[in-house]
Amino acid sequence: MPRPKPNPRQRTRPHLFTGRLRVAIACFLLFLWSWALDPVSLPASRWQAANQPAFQAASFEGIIGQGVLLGIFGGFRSIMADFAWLRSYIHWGRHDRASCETFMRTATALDPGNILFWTGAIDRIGYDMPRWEIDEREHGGQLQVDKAVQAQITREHVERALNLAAQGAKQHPQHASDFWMRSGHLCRLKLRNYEQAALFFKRAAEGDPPLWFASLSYVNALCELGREVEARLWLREEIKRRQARNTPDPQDILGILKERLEELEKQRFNLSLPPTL
Amino acid sequence: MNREALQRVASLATNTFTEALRQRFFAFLMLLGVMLALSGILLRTFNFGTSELKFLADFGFGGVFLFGSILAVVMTVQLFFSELESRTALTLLARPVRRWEFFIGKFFGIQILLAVFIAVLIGVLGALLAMRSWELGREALRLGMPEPWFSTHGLLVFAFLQCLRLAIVSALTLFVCSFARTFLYAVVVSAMATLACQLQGIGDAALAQNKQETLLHLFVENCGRVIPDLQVFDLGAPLVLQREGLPATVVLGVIGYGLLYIPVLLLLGIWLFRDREI
Repeated sequence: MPRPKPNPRQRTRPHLFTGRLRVAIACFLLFLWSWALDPVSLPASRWQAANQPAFQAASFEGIIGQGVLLGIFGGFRSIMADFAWLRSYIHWGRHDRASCETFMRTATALDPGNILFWTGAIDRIGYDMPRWEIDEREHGGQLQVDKAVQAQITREHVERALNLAAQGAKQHPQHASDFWMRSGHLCRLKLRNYEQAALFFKRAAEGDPPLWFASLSYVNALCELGREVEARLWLREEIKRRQARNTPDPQDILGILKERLEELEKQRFNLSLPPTL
Repeated sequence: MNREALQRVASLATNTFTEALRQRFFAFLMLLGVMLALSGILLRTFNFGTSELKFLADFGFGGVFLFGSILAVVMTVQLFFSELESRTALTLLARPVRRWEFFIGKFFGIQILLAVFIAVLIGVLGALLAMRSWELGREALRLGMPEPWFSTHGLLVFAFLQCLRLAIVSALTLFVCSFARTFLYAVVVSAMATLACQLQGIGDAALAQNKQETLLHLFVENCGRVIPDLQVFDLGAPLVLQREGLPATVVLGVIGYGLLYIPVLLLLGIWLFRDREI
């Protein structure tokens, strides 16, 4: 009697799970293990999120696909950031706002330690881009863009630049005063918002380390607001603070501040204010 | 596990390593990696204010992971499938070699190969950094500026972390090989999984930022959990170039993560491979 032909699919021993089901179970077990290992990898994830902006999702909004993938693939960040910065120059030359900003943000996300990327991006967004957009609209058929529209365009761009400056100050706390100073200038020159500018200048003057010319800018901004008395009182206190610090002053910054105070004092007599002020 | 089993695993690992060394692909990738690290010297002038040592180190780190990942994926699949396709696996498994021994032997053989690759690349990078930091140091002394600095100890810790990272990649690839039917399928799935592992952290952060209470969102959020997060191993710059280094908890956490993930990937791979038809 011929023996029955063995079925190749027939298993020699029974299995609880077979084929794809086993793969699915293995994946599920990996999923559970991942959850279990979360506390182990948490310190590293937290440290990266706090110290390396390239790992923050917010830094990547709108810039994925610009060579960022290679940049976060374990290295090449500096070179990819440099390429992005170079490409931003090409778009800057073409007055292509969207691309220019995208590449500048790519550079700051990939290599946040390079202060040039931040300051360059702030200046281009705040000073150049509003002008480009206004020019673009004028060339687009509108002979003259309405002043209110121009102001609106400028405000939008400056707000973006101020946000970037705040991010830069957070990233470079040792240069935060530079960023506040830049923000103050943007508010003063582009928005004519002296109140806001004065706040930024004050922040830069009282920052750590303080910028000496920020003190002068703050005083001038207060004078532009018609608050000479406040400016003089603040500068008097500022000089006292700087004298108390007793730090080396090879450029005689204190002397410059004293000169400015004298000018304000003279103005007080011209205005014939009571001596207590 | 008895002594004979260990000996069999060791001889399988040695054979795998010797076979891998003979492959031109390994030599080609090694050469590319070394050339990339050295080309950092030529490209160093192309930067906008980044410190030169950081630029060089960054270039080297990129080479280690990029070429290391390609090597870990392609060589693992190649060495695994060559045994199956040439039927030598059948001959091997007909002897008193168990499937898990075959699986673990392959894994360790590839680890030796990856360790050699990392050692060579990190050696070249270390030499390059030492040479430039010495030259820049002399110049800095002359100009009265602070000397550039890098940590050799940090570089060694980084090399170890990269060994762990690539071990995860090769364990993941072996896991895929344990159920894959073709070479191409295994390479493509493993490469995609490696890329996803690298981007997992960013994906998680992006999902957390746009949180929605939908079933789809929940599903996508949890999908990433199936694969390990390789981004936590990206600690090169702070380890090598920051004087203050990294908190010990961060480094130990990453080492622990790698050491705890690899065995589970291997165990699940062995479980799937145990009943696979060869």
